[in-house]
Amino acid sequence: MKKLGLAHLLLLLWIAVLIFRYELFYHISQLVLSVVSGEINILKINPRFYDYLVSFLLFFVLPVAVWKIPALKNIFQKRLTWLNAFLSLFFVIILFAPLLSTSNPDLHYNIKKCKLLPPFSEVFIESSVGENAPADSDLYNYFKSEIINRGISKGAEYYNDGNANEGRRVIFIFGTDEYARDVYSRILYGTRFAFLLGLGSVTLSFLIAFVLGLAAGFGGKFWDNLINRFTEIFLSFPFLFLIIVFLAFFGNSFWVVVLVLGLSGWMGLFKIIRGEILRLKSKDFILSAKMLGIPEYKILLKEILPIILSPLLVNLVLQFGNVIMAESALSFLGFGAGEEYFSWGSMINSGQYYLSTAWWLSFFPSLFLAVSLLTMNRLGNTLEKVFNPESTK
Amino acid sequence: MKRGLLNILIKRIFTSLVLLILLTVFLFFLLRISPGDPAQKFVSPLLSHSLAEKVRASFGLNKPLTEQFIIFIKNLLSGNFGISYQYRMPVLDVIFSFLPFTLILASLSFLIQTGFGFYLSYITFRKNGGILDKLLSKISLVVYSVPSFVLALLLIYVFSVWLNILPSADLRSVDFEDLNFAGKFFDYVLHLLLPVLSLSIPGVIIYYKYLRENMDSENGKNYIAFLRSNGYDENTVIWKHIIPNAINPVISVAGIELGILLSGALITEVIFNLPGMGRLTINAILNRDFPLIIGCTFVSGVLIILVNFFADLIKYKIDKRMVEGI
Repeated sequence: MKKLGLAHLLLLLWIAVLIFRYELFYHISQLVLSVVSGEINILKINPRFYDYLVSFLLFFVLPVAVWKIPALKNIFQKRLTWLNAFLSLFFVIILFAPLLSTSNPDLHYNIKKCKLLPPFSEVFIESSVGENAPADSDLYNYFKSEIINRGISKGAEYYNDGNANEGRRVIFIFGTDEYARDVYSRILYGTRFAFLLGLGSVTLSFLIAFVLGLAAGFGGKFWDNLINRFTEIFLSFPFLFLIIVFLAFFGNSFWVVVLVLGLSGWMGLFKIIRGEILRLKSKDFILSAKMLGIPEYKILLKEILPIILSPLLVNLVLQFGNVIMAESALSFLGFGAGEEYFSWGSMINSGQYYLSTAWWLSFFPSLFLAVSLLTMNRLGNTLEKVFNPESTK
Repeated sequence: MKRGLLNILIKRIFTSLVLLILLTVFLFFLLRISPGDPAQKFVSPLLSHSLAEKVRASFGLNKPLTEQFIIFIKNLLSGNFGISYQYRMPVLDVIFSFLPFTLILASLSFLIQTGFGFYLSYITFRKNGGILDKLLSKISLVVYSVPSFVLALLLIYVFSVWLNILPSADLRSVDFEDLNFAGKFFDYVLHLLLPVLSLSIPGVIIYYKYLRENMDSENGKNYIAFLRSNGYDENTVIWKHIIPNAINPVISVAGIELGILLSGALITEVIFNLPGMGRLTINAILNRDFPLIIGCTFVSGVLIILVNFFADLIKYKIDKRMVEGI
């Protein structure tokens, strides 16, 4: 562990993906070629394909970028620790979810054969020819039907030209759920969803806290008192019920969840920003900057923001963890963003009914959730130690 | 001094109550503008339309919004929250039939949390660097980031599915009525063991973390070194100086924690299918039972205000400087 760098882990991952998913790369490049040559109409392509394409391109561009850009190179030369290993693992999952996932997360396999299979079970799925062929018959056809909209005559042709009467082996790394969907792929896309949602609502919280903090810090005593009272209201009541009422009555969608979680998490950030601004405002260097006639927005951007950024960053990371936890708790209760998103919480929820027969349904999402929360907490603590060395014992 | 302190606290409780009423009013309007009709749950769509209209009238939802609001405010001021749509009983009666269980669960869990949290931090503080200390500092990191529902499911899997020694849900067994008194008591204990455990373990870790950190930071301060160098007994230093100073910030944490517990340990009650405030509120929300939602929120709010009031009182009792601070 001592001599290993972050680059070693990532190189290992890169090679592993290349070895295990070479078929997928081959199909993607073939499809790209047929799009370029005009064989497939570009308008008929399922938007999902672009997701694959971006990951595909990034997969080959990133190593070159790391090689060429010194800033990135420095990051990759860091020593391997548990923290940055897990962080980069999550980063890889978010960027390359389509390449890593073994099947479409929404795809229902043959429910007779594939329902509630334990982890690492391998199933041979026969391909059948014809217009009603199941999409999962073999990888190439599955992939084509995946990217080309169904019901178009062109699409039906592609079902036929594959390797008919053959099948493919599908391995379910984390097993399958009660609708015969691949748990592993769902968890990978769930990682994407959780982190995106966390990012969105933390950004919202930050914006609210920043604007209110500025108003309280610079707006004079009246605004300061008013906003402080307002914040205390938000701090003193349990808003969980209000959140649930809101989500239950006004429909649940991605943006509503982001909005609600963002609106309920800005109080701590606001207190930090306000406190730091009030503390800095009377400092000599700010006063001298004012005397020199530097406009206030410039003082804010150049003098105050860099100083308050470090305590803020710690809090943002911890808040990020809280949001992921809150989202999965809401999804667990059935008030999440909806079934079309792959939320860990709703996976755990649907798994709890099969706890005695299929433990993997709720175990793997729980594992991912716990590890991501642990990573965020550790990251927050580490950042605090970096920014504020006095707190280390 | 006493009068000044009491005045401040009463003022604080009064503003909280005003805020609570404002929140309730906000909730009233939020519910009224929300889409969906509560009456639809009770009337089959195959039945005549006028029947649904009758049900709506019986809920008082057919009146104009301003009139509904005036009735609501009148009722609120006389302590009446209306009649629950689902249970067809006064809201307060429904809540008071669910509240005792939550109070028992919350107080049990609170006692375990504070007791064990304090005990563990004290033990590890006395034996700094021992095996238990090292083990706990690692475990606390992990448990701290495991959500309560994951922990609850893990406990159910281990004790109910794998070992098969504890029931996984509900408050009573099927054959509860046939048991004698001791059997009934034992039955309750068995059923409450897992919920209390899954509620308490994260709390124990939180108290342990806070107390341990505070004790360590107090231990490094000059006045402790002064006391030690003057030859004070170690027990005196710890019990008279370190612990009272370390415990003070934890009390506000305890206030918040107890408030959360009292407003219903939502997820635990849902997982273990227990008749508490949290599940009552969730069911009220899912069934669009408007008066019950407002009643539940109000009662939880009052409980939280009371708990914070007592936490403040204890805090000022310990630290006299805070009286001048506010």
